Amino acid sequence: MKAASYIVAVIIPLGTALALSAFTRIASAAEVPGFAFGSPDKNRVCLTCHSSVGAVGKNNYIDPMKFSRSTHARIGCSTCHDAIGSTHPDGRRSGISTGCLDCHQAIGAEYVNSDHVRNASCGSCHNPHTVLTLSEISSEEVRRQCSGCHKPEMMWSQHARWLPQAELHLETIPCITCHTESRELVVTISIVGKKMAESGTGLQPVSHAALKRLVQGGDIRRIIDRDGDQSVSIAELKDFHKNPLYDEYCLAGVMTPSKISHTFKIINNRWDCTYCHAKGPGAVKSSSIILPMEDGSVTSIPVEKGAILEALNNIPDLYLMGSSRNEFMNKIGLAILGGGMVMPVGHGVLRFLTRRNRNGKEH
Amino acid sequence: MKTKIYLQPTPVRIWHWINATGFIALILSGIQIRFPEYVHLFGSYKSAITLHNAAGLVVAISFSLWFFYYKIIAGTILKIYMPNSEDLRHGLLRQGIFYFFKYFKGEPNPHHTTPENKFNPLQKSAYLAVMFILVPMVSLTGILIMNVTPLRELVLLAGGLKILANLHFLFASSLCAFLFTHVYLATLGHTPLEHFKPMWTGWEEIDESETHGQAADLGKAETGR
Repeated sequence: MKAASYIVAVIIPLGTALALSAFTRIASAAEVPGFAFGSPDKNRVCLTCHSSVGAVGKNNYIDPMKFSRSTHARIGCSTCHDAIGSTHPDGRRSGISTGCLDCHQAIGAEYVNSDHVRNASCGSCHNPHTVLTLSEISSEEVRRQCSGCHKPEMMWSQHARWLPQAELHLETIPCITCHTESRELVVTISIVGKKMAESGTGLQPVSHAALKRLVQGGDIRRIIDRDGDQSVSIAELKDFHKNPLYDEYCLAGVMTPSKISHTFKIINNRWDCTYCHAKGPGAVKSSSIILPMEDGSVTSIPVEKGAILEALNNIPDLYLMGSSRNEFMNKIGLAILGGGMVMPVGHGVLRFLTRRNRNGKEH
Repeated sequence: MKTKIYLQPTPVRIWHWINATGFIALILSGIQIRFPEYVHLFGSYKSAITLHNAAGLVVAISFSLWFFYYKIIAGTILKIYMPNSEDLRHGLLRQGIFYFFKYFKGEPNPHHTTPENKFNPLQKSAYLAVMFILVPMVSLTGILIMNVTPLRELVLLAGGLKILANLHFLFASSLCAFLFTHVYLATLGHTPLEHFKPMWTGWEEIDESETHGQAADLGKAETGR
């Protein structure tokens, strides 16, 4: 009963903020006269006005670049804004009769049982005009959704009660990496500018145009997938790191749940540091490299299993204790320890063999 | 006749054993932190980190106290730890020849321990590297790694977390290698435990005939048993 009242009182009205309609409505929306809805450039007509603050005002402005990257751009404006008539703009508010839950029923059913439902609606965290998939956004963008309510300073102090290097963890890992019921994590890797990584000013993916220049107008996928087999191997990652042409670039990864979950509960194994801080195949089982395409979308190439650390180890200032230890350094360390054993072992053996010279009396 | 000399003052002994305990804790927890798939000595990874951080702080503070004691209170830090010109010209070679040749023939140690001249030339050189380079560097890199966010500017100045972590590991490996030799050399007394005693009681027994009368010159020497 309580859950049902939440659905009526909270989810449905608030869901309208993140307006998505059922695909069944697409057809009817396409029939609205006066606008070219449903065509490949179905958003173009709307954005003619709505991409200009001067034309529609700040509240009705849609950033065309952000919207074109958004997954919602693929279903088109009229899918959610289906109540717009042929007389638009006629000065009347364009009522939205659809809600987020018309499409995202499963998420709604999960969300209604979470603690968040009392405090936040879909639109509190997600802007329907800029929404992206997990593989397309940076840690910072994911974290920004949470920090509206969960103030960073308070989160640092709360986590610091039990988490070593709390501030560093919260800076580099999106909240949902731990606060999820997804058992597995995925790492999404992008090509970023090395200088930005070193100076700590954030890792921003390199633009399509910049990548295009690297391959002199060729296929940008060949930068990393050299043999074009639609899969990135450890050898190809090593080639990328060694290639002097790409000296200014490195790879940066975002670790996110493999399955989106809106309960934000923590699975017990996340309390074990070795979930991340250990080498070898652990929870992070798959990764992919994403490259920005000309139309604002991204293309994804799967990375060979086990190559994640190879990719991440080459980020200038990334070091995961226990996971990203350097094998070459291990060998040097072992040689140093071996050197330290020369005296006890070598001298000790000779000492034992010549013990009679000291008449049983050591010096 | 045996002569007893007061070789290791109480603050030095306390410092030494705090250091020894700290180093063992650091080495063991450090191994678990670096190789968590194979080593689970302290249970969880977090326990190993907590112990490593705590032991690291204790050793770093203990090092500062040691430096303060020898430099400010005793004022003998350079005399004890810095090889002099005689050490460099002849002492190092003489001591090396003793350890690697003469020792096996049963000849006496050319160095005679006194409170003012505790270490032979080889020991001085080794401790100089350990106490003035390795321990400060391993502590410094450790402190930076422990405080990445508040000390980010310094971390970046040092070349980033990756370089710091590798340096920390190499300095720690070198200290560990030193520890093997240090403990072994401590067994080279008349009896294997002879050199361990003064670090526990403060007093070392030396055979007067072997000191060629040097003990008689020692301010703190005490003739007895």
